Amino acid sequence: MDTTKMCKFIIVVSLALCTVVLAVAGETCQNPSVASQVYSTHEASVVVNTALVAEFTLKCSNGVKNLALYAEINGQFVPVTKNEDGTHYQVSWVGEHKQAPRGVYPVRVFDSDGYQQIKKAQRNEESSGAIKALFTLSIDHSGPYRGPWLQSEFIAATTAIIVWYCAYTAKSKLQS
Amino acid sequence: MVGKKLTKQEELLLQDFSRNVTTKSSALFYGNALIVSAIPLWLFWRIHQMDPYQSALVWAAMTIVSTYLVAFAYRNTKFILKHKVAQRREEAVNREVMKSLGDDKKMSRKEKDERALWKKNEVADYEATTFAIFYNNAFYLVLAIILSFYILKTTTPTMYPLRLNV
Repeated sequence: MDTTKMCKFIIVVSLALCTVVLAVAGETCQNPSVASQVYSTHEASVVVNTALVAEFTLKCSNGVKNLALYAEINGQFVPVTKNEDGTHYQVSWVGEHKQAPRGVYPVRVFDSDGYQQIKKAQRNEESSGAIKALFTLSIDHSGPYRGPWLQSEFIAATTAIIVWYCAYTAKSKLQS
Repeated sequence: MVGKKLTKQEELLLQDFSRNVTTKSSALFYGNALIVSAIPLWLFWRIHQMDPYQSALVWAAMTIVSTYLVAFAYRNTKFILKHKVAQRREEAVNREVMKSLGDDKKMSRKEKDERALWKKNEVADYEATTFAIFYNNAFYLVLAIILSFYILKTTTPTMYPLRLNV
């Protein structure tokens, strides 16, 4: 009787462990394949802030979809939004122009496990740079256009003043 | 003295010291003044986005006033400059006239002098006219640009045609 009970207990525990393993394995994306599109603000004369946006589709070899992802973008950790079927993801960052100068911005994307490791590192005041990301995107930001170096009215005013000055000088010479 | 006919020299002297201009010069002045006064209308229409139909009356009135004032400035500037130009060009004009009339034995010295005087007056008149137009146009456009884009930048566009005539 005791042996039977022991066997049953072992089987139940094994099944539970297998379930847990499978559940955990099911949430992890194996061999991620990413197709991405990136966007950054190109205009600063009327736009107040710079936006960095990355959209991507994720395919995992183990067929996992609808993952909860988190991204590190320009030093900030933000959740990655997704569409209804969990195939398209989007991550964005908005800030002042001076906080996003021209350059290439790596976007490290983490799954739940990775994010937990990051939170743990932050609690322990450790660097999160060593934590391996699921994959990394790059946003090439060429810098926003701030308008011409010289305003057109300034050039017009300067030219008009120069012409008038030449006329005034000639008039003064005539009257001298 | 009444009814006495003026000599050519006296006529020239009167013309010299008069602010009156010939019909040709007057037409030239008002034509140029109208063109220069109309230039800022493009600025009001396309840059300051004033509605041309609503502003037509104000624009027309101010353009007419501005035309008169600019032509007035032309006349005054020409009068001031004409004598100075005449003094500067006198020697060169005399030399040229004497050179062209030097071989003419039929013309007396007095007639040659009158011809030189007339030529000097014509040259001075033309040069003073063109320089007056050039100087006043440059001055007007400098004022229009600086007032429009810098000094009156924050006022409503309706004020712009009025301030041009200040």
